[in-house]
Amino acid sequence: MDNQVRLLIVDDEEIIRIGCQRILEETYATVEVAENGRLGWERLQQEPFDLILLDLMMPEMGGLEVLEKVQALDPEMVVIMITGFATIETAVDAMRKGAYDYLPKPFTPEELRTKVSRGLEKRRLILQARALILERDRNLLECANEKSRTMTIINCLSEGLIATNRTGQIVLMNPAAIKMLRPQVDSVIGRTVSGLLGHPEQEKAIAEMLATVTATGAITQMEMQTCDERVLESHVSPILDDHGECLGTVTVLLDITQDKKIEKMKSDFVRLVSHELKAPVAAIAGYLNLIIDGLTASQPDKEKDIILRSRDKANALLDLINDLLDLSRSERNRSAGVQKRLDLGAVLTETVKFYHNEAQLRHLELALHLPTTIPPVVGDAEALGRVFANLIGNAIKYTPEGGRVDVELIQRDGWLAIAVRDTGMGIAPDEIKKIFDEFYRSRQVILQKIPGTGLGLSIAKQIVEAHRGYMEVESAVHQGSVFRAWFPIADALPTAAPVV
Amino acid sequence: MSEAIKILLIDDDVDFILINRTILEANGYEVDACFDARCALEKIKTWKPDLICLDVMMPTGTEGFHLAYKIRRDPECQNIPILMITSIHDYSDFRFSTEDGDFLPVDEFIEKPIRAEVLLKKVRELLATRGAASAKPPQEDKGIGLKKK
Repeated sequence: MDNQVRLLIVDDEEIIRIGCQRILEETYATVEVAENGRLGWERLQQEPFDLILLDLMMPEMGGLEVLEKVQALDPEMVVIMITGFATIETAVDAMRKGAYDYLPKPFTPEELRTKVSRGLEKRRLILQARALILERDRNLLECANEKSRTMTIINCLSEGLIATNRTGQIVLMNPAAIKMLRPQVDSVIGRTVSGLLGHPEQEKAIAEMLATVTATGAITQMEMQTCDERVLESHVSPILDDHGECLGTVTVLLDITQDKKIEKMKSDFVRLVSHELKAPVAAIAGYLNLIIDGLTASQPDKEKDIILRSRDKANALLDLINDLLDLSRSERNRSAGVQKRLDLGAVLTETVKFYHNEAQLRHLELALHLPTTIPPVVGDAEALGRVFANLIGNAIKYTPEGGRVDVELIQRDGWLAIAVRDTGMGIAPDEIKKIFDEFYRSRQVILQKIPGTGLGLSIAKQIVEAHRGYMEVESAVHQGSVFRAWFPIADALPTAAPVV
Repeated sequence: MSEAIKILLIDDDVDFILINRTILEANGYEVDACFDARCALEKIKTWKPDLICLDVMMPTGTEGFHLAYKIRRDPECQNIPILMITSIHDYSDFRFSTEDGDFLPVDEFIEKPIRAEVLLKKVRELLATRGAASAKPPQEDKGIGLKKK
């Protein structure tokens, strides 16, 4: 007995209803009956059935009307029309409207069984097909999901990714690669690299590399410069099939412009430092050789001059080395200094006191102006002390006798500044931007032979910036300069740094 | 006593001038010095040195080269031998060699730091071949020619 199948017989003739039910119940588990179209339709709405035996001519609701409703409810439900001879034409019409078959009255039990069994077979096939379609759709969806997931990952890579087939045609190029290479055409798929980048030499190099990788199967690496001066590093690997046959290549592109820049800055700096260190040592060695060779023996004044010069050179070297150590320290401490809430007034008072003697010796007026209340700043007292010492030291060094240096604290919009104002030689407008560069010394300073390493301001700026602050400078030649180091006040919500 | 041989030192480095002036004077040469090209050109014409020691002259980098071309183009002084002093290796792997003298209008090169005996040897050699060097025709200013060692 088929336990799953559910049948419904809708007929107003009791004999047929009961007769059919009895016959079919021998084979099928659920055989329900309804005595007219309306009741049948009600039952159909309550529970699903696999097959309906539906009388054409019924009171209240005719077979065709029920058929129509059933079609709308479940188009795959199998409907067999029960019909008298007189209504065969209508039955044929019903089949056109979606009934599966018709059973003309009178019919034998065998005919009933055959028609129902065939109808159910049809129903089974329909359901199976539907399940298969559903499964196929689900598989397709999964495939599509999988594919789009992979594509999403590839498209989100910050590295550029390009895949080519065996003949060098591009089959994939992710957005990062497009951004890096800026191809000259809208669609790159299916094209070779030739004519794509507007840079024939580079295209040739890439094509050669792809060909080499395809031929040898070896992973290759190359650095290249783009038209807009960026440096890309490319790693090309072969795409191999199960037999080790090369199907194409996959290239990963990295934008290493920034790394290159840092590398260059580093080597430039090392070269500059080496030169700055070497020059005074070479001079000292030269002077010592003169003395050793006895070339100055007959000129004691000259010999003394040479010895003094050598000592000055040695001192300058010491200053330079100390500054270099400061520089490396401030770079190291950029993220991890000793951060405490500080009273800048106290740090400043300390520094100004230290410079008092020097100012007096040079006949300069050094004055400190502090407001009554000073908001705290978060930072490293020692490092900030170095900054203040540098600014005040510079002001004293570059201000002629009789001048004055004023140090004050200013507060504005969540920021606190120490300002050092002098009446010194000033800085030429074209030099103002350069004075924070490492080793830069202004023409005037060099001309007047004022000793210095050209590192002090660069170090000060780094320390200030490590405290989330910034430096500003105003200057007029022969009138003086004012340097301000601005720091965000602790607890305040500082507004954006004003444009300098 | 014959008039001393005159050597003009042109360099923006005070220490260099002081050291080499001392060396050369101790060896009987008469020495004068200039710190930049403009002063040098005047001095060459008025003082008429027998030999010029010319620094490539950082920081401008090329001042020395251009001065060399100017000297060579000037009929008043084009025959004075030039010993070019270079310290360019501080900045790069480049070296000058005597062959470069074929396209740079100088006669000999010497690298910083300068050792007394090397300086004196080159000075003596150049002064000895003064006649031959003067045959060199004036050349165009082709800028700096550098080659890797």
